[in-house]
Amino acid sequence: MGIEKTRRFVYLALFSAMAIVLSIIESIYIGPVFFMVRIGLANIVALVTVKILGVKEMIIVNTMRVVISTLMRGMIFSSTFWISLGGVVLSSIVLIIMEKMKSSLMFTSVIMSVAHSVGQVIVVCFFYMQAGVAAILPYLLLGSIPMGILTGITAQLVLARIKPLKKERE
Amino acid sequence: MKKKEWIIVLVIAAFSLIALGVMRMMPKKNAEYDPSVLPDKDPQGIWVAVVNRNRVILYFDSGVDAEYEVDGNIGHMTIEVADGRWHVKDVECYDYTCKNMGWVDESAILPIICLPNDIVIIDAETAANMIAEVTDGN
Repeated sequence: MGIEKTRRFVYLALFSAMAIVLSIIESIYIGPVFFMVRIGLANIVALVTVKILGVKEMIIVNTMRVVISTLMRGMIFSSTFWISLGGVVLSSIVLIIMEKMKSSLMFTSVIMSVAHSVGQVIVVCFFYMQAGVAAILPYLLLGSIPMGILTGITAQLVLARIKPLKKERE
Repeated sequence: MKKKEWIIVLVIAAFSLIALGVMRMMPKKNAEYDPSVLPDKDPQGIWVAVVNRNRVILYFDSGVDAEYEVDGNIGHMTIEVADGRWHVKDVECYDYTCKNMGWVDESAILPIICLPNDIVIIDAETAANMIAEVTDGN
């Protein structure tokens, strides 16, 4: 039991670190692939975490990713932080619902990606008090679908190579 | 992905495409008329340019009767357009030469010029050549 707990803790730390690093790399070195659509590399880690460790751990990883990556870039509590948090909160909620509904990984990834974009746009609308910002949503939704499929495929490849700890617990 | 899931994804994509189409068809509310940009529609007469400091500040259609207000170096100028002709109706200036030039049309030999205000009222094509020559000279 003790070893199991330690292993879970190590996995959680590793996933958090991976999510933070991917988030920073994507924001600094990769940027938007087209228009304003990003790949969402950190979403891969969220998907893998929910499958390997569980929902609670996924929330911890996502929270760590937003807080620490913005802190490391010196943007904590800036508009970037709140926009990022908006996307992560909505995508996490969707991920939990999809997990309960036992949806396929690819579909979960696509819907999560869509929710991320919607969450960010909602925060931007509130931030700037401009509902017109929502006009960007169709572009983001269209871009979210291929990006969601891409992250879904990557998560599938990763999951095929990692033993799930969640099942061991049950 | 299951069939149902594909349908949901396709619905999201279709919704986005429809929303994009609707947005493109909607008139742009915030698109303000910029008088210093040559309109891409055909004029009823000719496009006439009002040039100040080697920069077009207004284009007007000589075939549309109207009055236009522009600002020069020292003051305000009112240009009146009627029956395919135009003239300076009123101007804040020292000598009123431009106002005294009277009505001109597209066949006029001299454009309306106000030296104190550094304003030239000339057909759009000649204005473009005039500005290009001065800019190239720089």
